[in-house]
Formats: sequence, C-alpha cells, structure tokens
Amino acid sequence: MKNLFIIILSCLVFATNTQAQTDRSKAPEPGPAPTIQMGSYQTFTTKNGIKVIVVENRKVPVVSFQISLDKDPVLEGDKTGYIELAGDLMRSGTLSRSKAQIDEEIDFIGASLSTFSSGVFGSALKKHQNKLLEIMTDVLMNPTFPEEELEKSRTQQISSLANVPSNANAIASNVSQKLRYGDGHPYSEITTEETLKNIQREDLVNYYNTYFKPNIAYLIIVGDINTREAKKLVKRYFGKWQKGEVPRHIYPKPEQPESNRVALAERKGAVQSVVTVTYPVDLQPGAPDAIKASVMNSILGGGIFSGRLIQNLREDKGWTYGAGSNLSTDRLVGSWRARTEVRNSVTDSTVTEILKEMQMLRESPVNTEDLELTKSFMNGSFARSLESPRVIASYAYNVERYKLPKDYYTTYLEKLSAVSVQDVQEMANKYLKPENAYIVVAGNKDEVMPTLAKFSKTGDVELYDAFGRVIEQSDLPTGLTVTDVLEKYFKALGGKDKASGVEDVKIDLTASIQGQNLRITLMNKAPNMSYNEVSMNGNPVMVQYFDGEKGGISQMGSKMPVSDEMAKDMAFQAAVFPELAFSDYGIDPKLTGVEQIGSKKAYAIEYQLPSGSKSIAYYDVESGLKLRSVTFVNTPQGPVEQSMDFENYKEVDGIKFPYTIVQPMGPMKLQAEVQNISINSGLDKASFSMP
Amino acid sequence: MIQYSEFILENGLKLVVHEDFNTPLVAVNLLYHVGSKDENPEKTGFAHLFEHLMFGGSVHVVSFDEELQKVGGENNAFTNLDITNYYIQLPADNLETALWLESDRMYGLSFSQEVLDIQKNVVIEEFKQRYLNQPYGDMWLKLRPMAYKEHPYQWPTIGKEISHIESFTMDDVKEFFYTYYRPNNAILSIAGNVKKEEAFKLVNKWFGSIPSGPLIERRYPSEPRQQEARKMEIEDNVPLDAIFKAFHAPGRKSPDFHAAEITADLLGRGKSSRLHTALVKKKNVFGNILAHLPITYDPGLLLIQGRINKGISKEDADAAVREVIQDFVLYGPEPGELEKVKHQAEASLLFGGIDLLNRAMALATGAVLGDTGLVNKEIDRIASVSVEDVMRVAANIFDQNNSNTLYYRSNI
Repeated sequence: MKNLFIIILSCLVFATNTQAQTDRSKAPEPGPAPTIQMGSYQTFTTKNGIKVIVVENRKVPVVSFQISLDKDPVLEGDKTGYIELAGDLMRSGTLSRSKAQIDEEIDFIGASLSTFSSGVFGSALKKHQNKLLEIMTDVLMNPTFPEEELEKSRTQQISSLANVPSNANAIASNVSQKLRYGDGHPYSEITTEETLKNIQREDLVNYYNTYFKPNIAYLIIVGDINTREAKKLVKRYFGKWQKGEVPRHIYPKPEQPESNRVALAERKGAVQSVVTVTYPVDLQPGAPDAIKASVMNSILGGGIFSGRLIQNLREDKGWTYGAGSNLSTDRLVGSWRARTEVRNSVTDSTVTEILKEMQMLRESPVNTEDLELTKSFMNGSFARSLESPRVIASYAYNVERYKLPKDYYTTYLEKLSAVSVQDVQEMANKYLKPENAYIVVAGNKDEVMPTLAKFSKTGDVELYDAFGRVIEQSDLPTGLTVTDVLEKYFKALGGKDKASGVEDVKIDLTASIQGQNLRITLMNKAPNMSYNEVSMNGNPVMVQYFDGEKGGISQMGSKMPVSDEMAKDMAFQAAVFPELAFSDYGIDPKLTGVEQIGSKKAYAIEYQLPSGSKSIAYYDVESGLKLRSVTFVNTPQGPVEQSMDFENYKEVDGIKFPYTIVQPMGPMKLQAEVQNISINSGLDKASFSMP
Repeated sequence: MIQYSEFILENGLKLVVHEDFNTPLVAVNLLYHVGSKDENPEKTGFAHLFEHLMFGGSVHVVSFDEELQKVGGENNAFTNLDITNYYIQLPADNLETALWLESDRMYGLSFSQEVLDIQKNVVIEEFKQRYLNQPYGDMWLKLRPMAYKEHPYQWPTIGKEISHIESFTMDDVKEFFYTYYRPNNAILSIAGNVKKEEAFKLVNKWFGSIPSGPLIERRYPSEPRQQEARKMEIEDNVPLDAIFKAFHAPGRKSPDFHAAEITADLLGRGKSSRLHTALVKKKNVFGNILAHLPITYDPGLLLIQGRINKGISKEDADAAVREVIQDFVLYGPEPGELEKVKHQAEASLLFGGIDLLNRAMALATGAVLGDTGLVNKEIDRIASVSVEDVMRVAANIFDQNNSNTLYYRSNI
C-alpha cells in the first residue's frame, strides 16, 4: 500500500501558470451524450418452473439472491395484515431451526435475510453464499409459523401501529390509500389493531401453501457469480421446491372522483400539515404513455430541486423543506400524487398552488428549455442508475414480468429524447386531474379544517382517523350545551320572558296542494291545550285537539282512536313553545351534533317524547332560530318520520314566528303561508274540543 | 482496497483521486472542514443553513442544479457536527462542469438577501418537519445539552432553537464564507473514470486561482469526564414510552474507536445482539431496542434506544437495560460473538464499497482526519480488536456516572 501513497508537491509550480486563462462565466463544453452500456443479464428456467435472472458483477465479492412471486394481490378483509405477517413469520422458525438459530446463523456470516409476503431476499459475501442459500431455502421451503412467534409479531405490530396517530406521514398515506382505491380493492386495505386480532395461524399457513410455488417465482441473482455456477447452485438448493396450482384474482378498476373531495385526518398538536393531492390512474408498466407521462410528471414534481412544485413551494415561497409528485405505473391500477409538508398557516395556500401548477401544465405548453432540462436530468438519472447491478436486475425483472420488448431499456434514451412539448401537454391533460382529485391533509384540525372547505365542490371536509376510517362529523364547539342552544333560540325569538308570556296563540295559514286550496288553523293555549284544523274548500278534512286532559282526532269526518301513548305526546306538544315544557315532562334533551339543513348549519337537539318516540329539533348555528323538527312516530310498521321546516320568521308583538311552514308529504311538499297570527286574544277553553 | 493519489494546490486545496475505469461516471466530493461545532453558541444552526445558501447562486452561476442537470449530473449535500459535505455524480466526460460549478461557489456566492430570507424559512420548516413534528424527533435537542457541558457537540446540527436561525444576517454569511469556505479548509476527492493527471490539471484550472483564507485554529473545549448520572423525563405526544441512554465514548480519532463501535454492535446491532435477545425476545420489555455509535471526530456518544412495551414501567425498563450492560461489562463477549460482529462489519464495508460515491467520501473523510487511506486499514483494525479491548473500553463507557438518560412518557 505504501507505493499508492503519492503526494505530488512539485505540481505547485504548475499550479500558478494556468490561473489567468480560466473564464468562469462560460460553462465548460459538455462531453458527448453518454452511450448506454446496459449491463447484460442471462435467464433460464428450472424444471420446477423458477424463472432465473442472473446479473454478473465482479467488482466486489458479494452476491445476492431474491425470490419474487408473480401473483395477483389478495383481498384480506377483516383479517388485513395476515399476508404481511405470513411473509414476516417465514423467518421465524423452520422444521430444523428456531428463530433464534436463524438470527444467529445469519448474523454470524454478516449476511442479511428478509422474508416478505411475495418473496425472500438474501445477500452475503461470496465466501458465505452456500451457508446463506442453505438457510434461505430452509426458510423458503420449511417454515413452521410457530404460534408463539405469531403472538409476538402480533403484539409487536399492534404496538408499532400505536406510532401511526402521531405520524402525520403515515396518517396521510393511509387516508390517501383508502380514498384512492376505495373499499373492496386490495390496495385500499389497511391493517389495524382489530384486523390483527382476527388473524389465526392457519390463515398464514394457508397463504403460504397457496402462493409460495416455484412455478410463479422469479429468482434474481446479482453479483460475483456466473450463469454456470448459478445453474448449479439453483439446482442444488431450489430443486426440491414443489410446484402447485395458484389461483388468480381480478378486481374492478378504481375510478377518479367526479369532483374534488377534501379529506382531513387529525394529527394532534401538529405544527405542519402533510398535504397530498392524489387519485388513481390507469397506466400500465411499459405502456406507450409511460415514458412521456413520466417526463411530464418530472417537470411538475420530479428531480431533486428542479420540479415546479419544489421551485414554487420551497425556493420561491419558503413554505416547505420538500415537495414533489409521483406517477406510478401498475398492472392493476397506477396512481398519481403530489406531496409536501408545510406550516399550518399556509396549508390552504399550498393546495391552491399545487392545483394551480397542475392546471398550468395542462393549459400552457412547457418551454423547450425546461423540457430539455428535464430530459437531460432523466437521461442522467438513467445512466447513473445503470451503475448499480441491482438496478440492472430490476430492469431485467420488469422486462420478463411485464412482457416488455427486450430492448425496452436499451432504447429508453431514444424514446426519452423523442418526447415533445406537445406530448407533455397531452400527457398533462390526460394524467393531471386538478378537478378530480382527493385532497388529503394530515395535520392540526382546529387550525386548518375551516380553510379547506373551499376546495370541495360540496363544501364538505370529510374527516378520517389515522387508519383511513371515516369519522362521523360532529363539529360541536367544545363546552356547548343544550341550554346554550335553547337560550340562543329564545333570544332570537325575542326573549324567553316574551315567550313565556304567550298565554295563547292562533295562527291562520293557507296552502295549496294539487290545485286544492287548504286553510289551516293552529291554536295553542297554556299550559297544554291545542287545536289544529285543516279544511279544504271550506270543509274540515282533519281536526286534532287536546283539551288539557284528553285528545281527539278526526279525519274526513270520521273519528280516530287516540291511545294513551299518543295522548301523552299530544299533551307535551300542545305547549305553545315545547322547549319550555321539557322539564315539566321529564324530558332530557341531548345536543348531538351539527348538521346541514338546506344551506345552513344547525345544532341538533334530540329527545324522547313521553311515548318513547324520538324527536329531533334543529337550530340554526348562526341565527339561533329553529329550522326543522322531526318526529319518528312509532307505528306497527316501524318508525315513520314526520318533519316540518320553519322559514321566513317575522315578528308579532315582539316575538318571532315562522311565516312559512313546509311539510314534506311523500314526494311532494306542503308549503303553508301564514295569513294572520294573534297572540293572547283570550281564546276560549271551549274552542279546544271537537267542533 | 481503494487506490488513490493525493495532490495539494498552492492555495491549500487538497485533492484525492481514485481511478476506476470500470464505470462511465465520476463522483466529485467536496468536503469543507466546518460543522455545527464551529458555531457561536449564541447563533447555532448556521453551518447547516449555510449549506442551503450554497445552492442559491454563485458569481457566474444562477442555478447550480440546472447546470448540472443539463450534463446528466445529480448532487446533494449534508452537514453534521464536524463537516459540511457536497457531492456530485455525473458522466465522466462532464467532470469539468462539476469542477466549474463547485469552484464558482467557492470563488464567490451571490450573497442575495432574498435567498437568505427564503432559505431561513425553508430551514425553519425543516426544523419543524424533522425535529418537532416527528415522535421523538427532538431527542438530540434534549440529549446533547444534557451530555455536553463544555464541548460544542452540545447542540444538534439544526441548531438549538428556531430563533437562532431567524437571527442570521448577511454579514454573518460573508464572514462565515470567507473564514471556512476557502480552499485551504477543503478537501476535494474525485473517484471514477478519470486519469489522475487529467483530474489534477482540471482541478488546478478551476480552483487554482481561488485565494486562501485565514488559518483556522481549532480549539474546542474538551468535555470533562462526566461525574454523575444525568436523567430527564418528558411527557410528549409519542406513541409509546421510550428510553434513550447516551454514554460518552471514543471519537473517530481515538485508537479505541473500533473497540467502542464493536461494543455498540455487540450490544445492539441486529436481532441476535445482546439487548434484542434479552429484552425483546426473552423478557418482552421492549418492542425494539438497539445500540450504535454515531461517528464523530471528537469524543462522541454511544446511544442505546428502545421503545418500552405497554405495562412496563420506565424504571423496570431502565433496570433491565442496566442488567444486560453489567453482565456484558463483567463477562465480556463470547469469542464467537465477537467474530460475528466482525463479520458484520466486514460485510458492511465491502457492500458499501460498491458505490463510487461512498469511496470518494471515505477518502475525503480520511484526509480530513489526517490519514487519507484510513478506509483501507479499517478491516484490519476491526479484525485486531480483542475480547480484552472490548472489555476495557466497555468498562470505561458504561460507568453509571457517564450516563445520560432521557425518558419519553406517552400522553396519548
């Protein structure tokens, strides 16, 4: 080694001579475009059907072996996670080795061995390759899936799932995955504590027995090894692996959303939001669009620092440390996503900028310089990637697995350089969907949620938990009570005193239905008398009353029975303002949430009528006024919903009444308009009985 | 074995060239000998912010990245406690473009106020993303000041706090540049398909005229031997209780470095390590636990970190770790165990050597430590570590009074 050590100090003289001639303002003349020396690979198939790919690389005395199963994804349902566990546990014990023995033997030779649901990977120094293959094939062919190891792995996975709610990236990725592929698609399935608990050892064993078959396997060998030696080793170590029939699965293609949907998942105390814009795309590996579309995506969000997204969000605005987009191809369904992490206050502005950049690439042709820059970047990445024997192997694997033309990668640079400005715009219009995207934000809910509604066509921000499960919305302000809502209601009406001061009220309304004119009279008298009459062309068609003790109903002249249960409800409902009678009837109302009533948001107050029927009243979040009341009347056929909307409030003697009452009747609506309201006119008790 | 030649330019720039004609590429690695340990304690995080400014344009180059991309190159950089390191990979034919770009930003920066303002924001976002918005992300922010009272390793590279980053001015930038970003404080290594004479000629052409800077005196206060066990407990939005234990340990310059690294590996590298076997597999105290010795030039910290399983108290978890350590210190490694760790280290070195850039970096790192060929001696040095070496070094590191323990208590 001594002779390698050359320090040339004599060159100092030489150093001073050349300085003056250097012109820094001009870039040095670049060399010719590099010709691609695609590392070659060999393939052969074994008797039991393994397709073997060998990439020889003798620079360093190391070698790696990878078994990769070419199978369709499998739906896991309420046992999601069992396939991954099956992969993990292959390394946890064989017929002749315990897990500790496997760990010890692998570590001893400084090798690495990992098992997956779709294969096994091992690498070692050349001198240890036989030992590695001995352990690797033992794990591949004789795993025992010990029950106790399953329990350990389950416990570990459950405890590592505990990381998810505090990891905004994991949250964003779960929600994106769920939305992008939708329920029932294997790519949308997310492992949770519940699904892990449903898994049994036999699920793992069945999976292994069904899918770990040589006839669907590729074996990729990379490193200090030639094909002849590889053939010998494969025969010796993999020859006994038994063939078998493997089932296929087909899934419907996930669609892009019809309009933008906004999803928010809370990461408590977050100082940054993880912002993702994503949707599924239909793009097969090696498809004619694949290279053109990847150039387009690279202009938008590829490269390290050159993409438009990072230029905009980081270098221009300083909002983020990193930003980028990714377009992935897949045989089932591909995906596009843009992703960045930004401080809370610019979360919505970031979404705006991402959508804007997508739109710009659709609308305006890129300039030639930008296109050439991106192409030379991709050209360089490709050339550099060929340095790694593992990459060569993965290209070879793609060619074989996806049945690409043999020269797909050797002609890659030609195809890349042919991509035109028009191609980029065409690809942008085809694959960038700023109006059919899922906008997913993981972050501080209180700070960012209100700013995101504008990106959704419906104005809804859908809430998800850390594992991509929908959270039923209830954006009630913390601390708000029933009393607060009712106080606001009475204040809006004109004051609680005013309302309690109403001894009796008579309301005359008119309505028309199917060309018939209706007159409606509603009378109430404190504490609990009521009389309602509907008449058509002067003839009463419906009368309902409660006189303080008993009630009656008559329809089209014939009397209907009033059960004791109904009578109890009628008594309560006869109050001028039922809200003032809750305590008299022992009713305990509950504030259940905020819901959309027409264009307004309303607090929902739910309570049980004396009969046990459920009733919900909705009070406008803004004005405080009651917007709707719904009662679910129990009938032998089950509960029937009766609903009334209150609109057009006007003041009468200092207190507000709805001047329009709308009642849905089947597919139609009965809209009644108030003609007259009289308060405290001294209604006679006798009026509250059957005429 | 990595073969190389060394040259020194008149202005003090050191060049190391490693020829490899089996690749069409070259890797260019430019190491500036300045890290966060060179910062003013009242203005920390500057070395790293400065790394960002190096991409904000130089006297003749508007966009470093674009010019490099045009010729098929890629680049990036990192800053740590000791150094700031910039690297490029590109087709060998375009080596000169890389040298033009690197030399221009050593020649002079744009010194743009706008670039400074934006990069301050970017770094503040990086601070949040990597140190505040990640569970346990602030671990070094807590552990460093606990472990170091004198030596400037007492703050992490990102800086002590965001307000420091906000405070930097253009004057700071210029002063830092003309002190540390001078040829006599840099090591350039080139690996790949280029003849050493050609490399030297081109480097001299582009870097030869850049004036030297002042001689930098490096005198860091040495950290006195820690005399008492230190502890801190924090409650945070983390998924699981966790324990981090840092012990002062030899740095890269120490002859005991490899014995210390092996000690860490024996205890906590891989699934057959002492800690994992005893506390994850057998006793089920931790979900995972590992030990490692991050490389620092001055004496560093051997770190043991583990996530405690639910239902186990931090005291019991800590006691379980101490028990494993005590056993190790008392009886030392089994001979087969030591052999295993050496095999692992050998495999890492050889696998790492596949990558051209790794070779360029290893040479530059060796050069800054005063022995360019250090990487070639490592396998032998690791092989020569004996059971006695490990026991002596471990006894010294795992003194209770040398420990800094940080507990995270989950509040979710």
